Parts: sequence; structure tokens; C-alpha cells
Amino acid sequence: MNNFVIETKQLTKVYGEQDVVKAVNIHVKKGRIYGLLGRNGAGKTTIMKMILGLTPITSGKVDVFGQDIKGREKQVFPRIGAIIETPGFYPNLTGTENLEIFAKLRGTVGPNAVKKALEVVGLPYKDKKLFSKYSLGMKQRLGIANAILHDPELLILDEPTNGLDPIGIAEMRNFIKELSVERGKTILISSHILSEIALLADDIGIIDHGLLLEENSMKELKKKNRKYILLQVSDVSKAALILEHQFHLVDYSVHDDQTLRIYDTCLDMAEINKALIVQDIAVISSQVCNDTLEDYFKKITGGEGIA
Amino acid sequence: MTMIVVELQKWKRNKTVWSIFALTFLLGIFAVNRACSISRSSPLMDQFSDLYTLAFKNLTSLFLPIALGMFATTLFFDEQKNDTLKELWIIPISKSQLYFSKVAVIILMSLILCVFTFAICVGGGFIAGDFPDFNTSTVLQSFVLYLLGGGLVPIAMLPIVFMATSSKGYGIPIGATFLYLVPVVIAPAYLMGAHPLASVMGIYSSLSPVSADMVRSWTQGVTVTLSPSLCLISIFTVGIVFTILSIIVLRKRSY
Repeated sequence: MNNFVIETKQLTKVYGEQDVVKAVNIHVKKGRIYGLLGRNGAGKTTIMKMILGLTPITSGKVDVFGQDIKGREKQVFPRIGAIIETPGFYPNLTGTENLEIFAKLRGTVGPNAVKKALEVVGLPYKDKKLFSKYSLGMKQRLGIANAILHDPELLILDEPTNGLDPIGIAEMRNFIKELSVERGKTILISSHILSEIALLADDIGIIDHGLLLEENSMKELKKKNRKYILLQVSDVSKAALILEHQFHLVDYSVHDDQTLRIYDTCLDMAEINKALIVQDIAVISSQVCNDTLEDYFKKITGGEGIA
Repeated sequence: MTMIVVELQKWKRNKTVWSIFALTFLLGIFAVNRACSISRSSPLMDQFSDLYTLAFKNLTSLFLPIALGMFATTLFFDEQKNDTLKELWIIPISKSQLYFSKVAVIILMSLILCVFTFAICVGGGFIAGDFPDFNTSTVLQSFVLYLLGGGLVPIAMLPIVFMATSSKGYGIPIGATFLYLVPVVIAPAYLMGAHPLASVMGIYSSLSPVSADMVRSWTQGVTVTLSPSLCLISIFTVGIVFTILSIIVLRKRSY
């Protein structure tokens, strides 16, 4: 058995003639925060909906907790808490009344669970305010309270900070982080805001036009996007040997037969060039680069759009 | 059972429910007022059966099907409009569980309205007074008629419930409710065995001579010849078909 809490295999969704999700394979590891990043309409919500059985899968498969969810919803879903798009509640009832309904339907919720869940998200218990009078931020908080009401192992959160003010966003971020770090919850979160995902996620999946363009750990991505010296030379292998022996360099990567990236930017570029030239290696170009995550996303999605 | 209790909880502070109750009360009061204002020497109101059949006709001929159609539409469509369906599926609540709990609530609502009207009639019987047949046996007979109406009308409305589950707005199912009623109002006698609401009348007429007279007045003097068991089979066959269709629609839909 693998270590993945969610694993999708060639997950595809077609609406009419439009491919909304194209053969997506995502792997969400236990106890980690997986950020699904993409522009609006990239297919993030559809993927989450397919995981939760809210929309039929055209082809492919979803395994949650190591089992195919199809036909096992009754065993798997009670272990999941979710918010998809805007949270849906009964407008004629108060927040507490709404949560009491969901607690009753779940049947496995402990005593005081409603009160605790409301406390966690900072909403008052037994308040008389009807859901219809809630602000967008309050609705979002109530959605989170409902998602954590039954203490699930896995949380699927579709743009959970939508409608929250900056302080609310920071609070929500800390809360999600705490759920993962302190309570060991596995979290799949989607967003179109890069900075939000960058601050939260341990692993990241970049989706664009229904395609998963990249899946990697945040650490690896940051490594890919840190400051480096881009060196183009006539003989990469010879250059690498010189860098290792003469400059004791370990932190570098070879990209093609002419390109090297040196991540130790403290090295003197002039010294490197001189050493290479002395050894008959032509230096075509050498420059310090500083790609940001945003540059990287723009590059791989082929455009703009991720804030 | 939990599902039904929860369904009832959802109706707290709901204006539609209170409006239906208020109108039911007014219809009952209208019948009682008529009983009070007409002399017992008139053949129009010389028996308690005249009062309870009048109130029953007022309630079940048009008002109850329309009220239940609107109630069913709100019951199903509001979940969709408020986006609560997806929250329910995630729990998970099965589509058939949700469907049957809502249908149970519609039947319960119908029974409550009928029993409520029955209670108004009995009260009206005391207030208007001088009904020679106002005794336990007639009261029981009327109670059975009301219970039958309360139980069968919502089952006959299952095609409208199907419209409510499959529509993306209030308009179509509510419009369909009126269209569904038109043929029953125009030619009920000829639709018995085919149209569920007309078939319900066929069952009423087999209950007692008083009910048979009441149905005859609905059918413009045509006597019902179709057996009640055939009417029952027709109602349940249509009901089962539309139940299956409703569950299929709920399962196939994206949320």
C-alpha cells in the first residue's frame, strides 16, 4: 500500500465536447498540505468535485485512503471534511442550527462538537443571526466549521480564503497550518493565489486548462527558483569537473550539453570564467539569474494570470 | 427517521409552510361559515356529511395539489439553490435516502393539512349545530376520508416531485402543477385509471355512499365504474415510475 491519501489516476472530465480535466494524476501524501494552483477555470474545482463524487468522472479513477471511492462513499466520506466553492447552508436557520443539522446527519459527531467547531473559526455559539444575514467571510468560516465538525483525517478546501479580509486570510492560513502540523490532518487546498499556496503548501500541483503541468514539493520548487548563475559553455562535463575540483562546488545542476546552473551565487563569476578559459572551455555566457515562483508559473503555464 | 426529523428542522421560520397552514385554516373556516349561514332545512347543509365533504372538496380538489406541488418544488429546489445538496452528498447522504425523506415530509404535510381541516370540521359541527348525523360513526367516516386524501394526494403528485428534482428553477414545476391539474378539473371521470389525481377520486367513491355522492358532484354526475384496486394500482404504478426517474436524475446530476 502506498503513502497517498488521495491518488487520482488519469482523471478526466469532459462536458459536452470540452475537456475540463485531462488525465490528471495527483498524489496527496499523508499529513501534508497539497496546494492545487491554477487560474480561475483551470479545472481545480472540477477535480475536487470528482474526488468527492459531486460530478461524475468521465474516465480515470480516484483512490482515497488507498481505496477506489466508487461505491465506498459510506466508508470513505465520513473521514473527509470539505468546502467546495461557496459553502451551502439553510438561510432561514442560524449558524448553530445549521451545524446541528449536519451534526445530526453525520451521526458520529461528539458532544459539544458544534460549539467547539464554531469556537475554532471564531463564530459565536447559539447566536441568533440567520445564515442569510452572514457576510461572505462568516459564511466561509461556517463552511470550515462544518468541514472540521467530525474531526476528519482529510480536508478538501476549495479556495477557503475567498471573501475573507486580510486578517481573516492570515488567521485561516495559520489555522490550516495548525491542522496539518499539530493535528496531522492531510489537506488538499486549491487557490488561484500563488502567494497563498506558497505560504501554506508542502506539495504543489500546477493546473492549467485541465492539465496538471507540474507536481512537486514546495521545497523542490523553491530550489528550482532560487538565485543561480547560468553558465553556457562549450563542454559541460569538463566544466563541471573543474567546478567540482577547483571550486569544491556541489550545488549545481546540468541542464543540457551547454548549460549549467550554479546555485552557490557567492562564487566569483570572473574567477569561474577565468578557470574555464584556461582549461580551453569556451564560455558562451554567464549571468546571475533570479527567477521567482511567479516567473516560474508564468513560464510553465505559458502566460499570466496567477497572482 | 433522523432524515425526516432533520427535514422538519429545516422548515423553521419558513414562510411558505406558514402560508399553506393559514390558507388551509381559511378554507376550513369558509366551510364552517357556510354551514353556519345555511339553514338545516336546506338540502345543501342538512347533514354533517355536507359540511365535511364541502371542506374536503375545498381542500383536496385544487388547493392541496397546488400547495403540495409548490411545497415539493421548494423542498427540492431550495436545496439546490442554497447549494446545500453538495454538503449533504459529502456527508454522505444517499440520493434515494434524501428523496424518500423529502417525500415522507410531503406526505406528512398533506396528512397534517387534512387532519387539521378535519378538526376544523368537527369543531364547525359543534358550532353550527343541529346536524342529525353528527355522531361518532359519521365523524370516523369523515376521518377515514381525510386520511385517505392526505395519504393519496401526495403520492398522486409524484410526477410533479420528479419535475421539482429535475428542474433548474421554480417556474417549470409550478407551471407543471397547474397543467397537471387542468385535465382533472375538466374531465376527471374519463381520466380515472390514467391520471393519478383522477384515480384518487375513484378510490374516494368506494369509501361510502356519501363519498360516492361527493365524487359524482366532481365528475358532473358521471358514476365511477372503475374498481378502486385498479385506481390504486394506477396511482402506485405512476408513483413508482416517477420515483425511479427522480432518483436517477438526482444520481446523474452534477453538483
